[in-house]
Amino acid sequence: MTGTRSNSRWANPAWLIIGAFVLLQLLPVAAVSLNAFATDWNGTVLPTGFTTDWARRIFEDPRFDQALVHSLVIAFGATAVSALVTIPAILVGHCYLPLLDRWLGALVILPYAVPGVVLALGLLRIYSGQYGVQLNGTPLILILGYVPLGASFYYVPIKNNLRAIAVKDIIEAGYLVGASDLAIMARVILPSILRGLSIGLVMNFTLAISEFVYANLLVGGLYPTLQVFMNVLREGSGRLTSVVVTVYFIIVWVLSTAVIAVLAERKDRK
Amino acid sequence: MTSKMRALAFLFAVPLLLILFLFEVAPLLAVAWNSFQGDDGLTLGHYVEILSSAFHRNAFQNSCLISAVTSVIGVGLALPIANLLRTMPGNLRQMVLTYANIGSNFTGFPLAFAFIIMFGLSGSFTLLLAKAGLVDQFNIYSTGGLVLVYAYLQVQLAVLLLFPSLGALTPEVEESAALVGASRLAFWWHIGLPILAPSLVGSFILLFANAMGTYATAFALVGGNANLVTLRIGELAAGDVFSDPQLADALATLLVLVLVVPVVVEQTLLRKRYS
Amino acid sequence: MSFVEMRGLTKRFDGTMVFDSIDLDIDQGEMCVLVGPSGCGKTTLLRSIAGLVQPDAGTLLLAGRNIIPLQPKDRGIGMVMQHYALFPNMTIEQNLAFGLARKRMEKAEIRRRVGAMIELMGLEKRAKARPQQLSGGQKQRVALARALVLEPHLLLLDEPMSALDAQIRKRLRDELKRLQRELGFTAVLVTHDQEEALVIGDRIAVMQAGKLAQIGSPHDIYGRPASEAVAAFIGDFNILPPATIERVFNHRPVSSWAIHPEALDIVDPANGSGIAPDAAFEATAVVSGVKLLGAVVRYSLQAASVPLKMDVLNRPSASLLPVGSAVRIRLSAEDIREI
Repeated sequence: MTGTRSNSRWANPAWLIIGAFVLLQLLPVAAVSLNAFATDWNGTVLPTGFTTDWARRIFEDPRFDQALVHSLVIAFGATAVSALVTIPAILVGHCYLPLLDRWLGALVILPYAVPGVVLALGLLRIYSGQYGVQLNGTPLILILGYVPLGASFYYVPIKNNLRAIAVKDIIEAGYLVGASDLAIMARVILPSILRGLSIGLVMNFTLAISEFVYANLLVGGLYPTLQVFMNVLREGSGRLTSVVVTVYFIIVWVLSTAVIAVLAERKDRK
Repeated sequence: MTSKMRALAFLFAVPLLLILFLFEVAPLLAVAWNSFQGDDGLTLGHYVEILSSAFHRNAFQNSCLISAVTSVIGVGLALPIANLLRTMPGNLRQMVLTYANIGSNFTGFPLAFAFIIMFGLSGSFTLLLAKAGLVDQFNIYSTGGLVLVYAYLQVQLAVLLLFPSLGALTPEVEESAALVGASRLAFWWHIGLPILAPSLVGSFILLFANAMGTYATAFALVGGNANLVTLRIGELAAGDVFSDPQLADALATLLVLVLVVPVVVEQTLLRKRYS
Repeated sequence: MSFVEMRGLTKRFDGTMVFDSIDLDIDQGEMCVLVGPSGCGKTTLLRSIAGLVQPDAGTLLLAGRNIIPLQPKDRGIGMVMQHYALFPNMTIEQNLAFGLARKRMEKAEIRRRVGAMIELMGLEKRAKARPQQLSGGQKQRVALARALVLEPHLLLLDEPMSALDAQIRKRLRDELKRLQRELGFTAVLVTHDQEEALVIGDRIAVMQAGKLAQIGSPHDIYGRPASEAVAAFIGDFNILPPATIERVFNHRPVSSWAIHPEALDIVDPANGSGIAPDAAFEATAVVSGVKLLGAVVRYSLQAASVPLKMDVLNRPSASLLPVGSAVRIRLSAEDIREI
């Protein structure tokens, strides 16, 4: 008996399971978004009616605009600073300084052993002016504080990319054609790690815009972010909070989809 | 490489090292230092207070239990998912992985809120489950609720952690096993799992540490009602009613000590994997 | 009926034809080599025989049994993969024992068989090592051992030497041939290396774009290519269309010629051509290049602006023709292959 098994995607259990997984990822988003536009949703499986009232109220609230701007400033700021500071260090460690490389590996793992709450306490102790430096209460403490938290998101993917290419050989080949280290880094190594870099950028942005502990404890009302605003709103109406949460989801989703599109394109070009 | 060039290269790493020191190492030292401060100078009093208090010991037990259970769930669910993901076309695979990236960062209020909508006392899924007769009453504001939400995060993180290491299980290895007569079960038992073991354990440890350190999600979901270490720390540090900064610092230091051991173990496992 | 019988095997993938109506017979104890350029479908055909790919149509009989509906592990087929795919978490001994353990063989019997195979392959010193600690050649031998220890009816090899360097490749090629003679197993080997095919195969099947272009002994394939495509792949033929033949040899045949470089002779001016005009063709050419290929000297010639390759034995006594010199060449009629 010859013949092939059905190639239909929908018959394949693998596709069903992955599909279920993706559905699971999207479910919370769907739930909150529905709530943001619901007139009434109590005791029923789905909302009874829809309205844009809540959304309008939030957009007209000056606190929302402020929180949104603050969040974006911090998110972009933290992503930029962390990229500029972390990526050269990773490259330099991998390509030229093996001792540094090993230490970096340990240091980026540290936030897993030292949770945000703990570090927040420490930052509170040091940067509240006792030693002459007042960073708490300003966005700067967040932008700088997020760098160690997100460092592993650059480190792991970029190291993966670096290991896949023969870095030593490439650098030597570069020397032989007369290129400086800087040129080799910029023209050859950097393009090779763009995938890892993109992943790092997205994850750092998401971290910065999702972070609550630092934002609440170290800065609070002095420079409120979306997360802090959500916390304030939760006392009151769940619908209003849902609108803010939906805006937050949209921002992150747009960004991640853009990155997927870029990464997919690069893959095709290969 | 001349030492001059080495020094120049090192310069590029200095900003990061500086920031790591100022915003990661220094705070940790400050916390640890402060935990030993008493009214009359250095003391171990705070640690004694914590270790002799059933309440605080209970906090550690709860945190460890929830973290361990959700980490097992995370790894257990993520392994088949990551394995199936390998068979997917590249673009879909990339999409799922990127969304898992994002998903594992959806912590705190947004996630807690979503789960409250879905599984709260009058949440959609609670109603559906009640109608189906599966669950009488599901209280999301409980340990069970925490487990559900944590597990949601853990599975996504686990998929990200496990996926790269599945590369060692090439199709050729699976086919070779099939050709010499191994069933799928035999393959996984004798070959697949042994190869993945270091990665599975390492992922479990990172997930455990991640869960132990979670604050925002727990706070958003149950407020101060659950007895978790991070919640106690936040309470003691926030300065509202129970403010006791040194006790908070002692708790924090103990938490770090609890986590340092498994993380160091994970690192040594990593070394073995790459050698 | 042959030991292995393929009739009409066909496979399409996403609309493209991978292999089409393959008819092939293999005798017991024979080494059949499937050779062809990359992408011709030979590996997929091999994997179909193994059961890793399901063909769309056709029959496949092994020792009289129809094996198409059978799982890979039930077909009695062993396979050596291109990159060996040894089980990384097991020692060599464990790799070999694994398949036998699946058969629920007695431990003592397993140990005996594994020991004998390790000795046969000369791997005694590395028996307790893991795959990561072995060289490429050793890994290949382990992969072979792992397949053979199960005493399969048929052994399949997917470009087994391609990952090895030239020296080792030659040695292992001879070892494989010797093993096959000694143990008497039937094998199908896939390769894109035409030299390997000629050396190792008892029967060669040349595959082109999913179809079998020619089946025969190495001598047949090399000496009498059935088409221009086969000639272009095996051997280093001079392939000349009729118009070009007219320019060079003053004779216009009906079909194209495939001429082996070694079929061209240098005419000794002293002897002249005392041969009947039909029996041989002559032309004047200018030497444009000389390459020393070891035992053979490869001359690049230009005859009436047509490039030709000529191979001459590198006799130590003979001197090389200088570049730019004119030479009279002769081609015997019976050495011409019409395609």
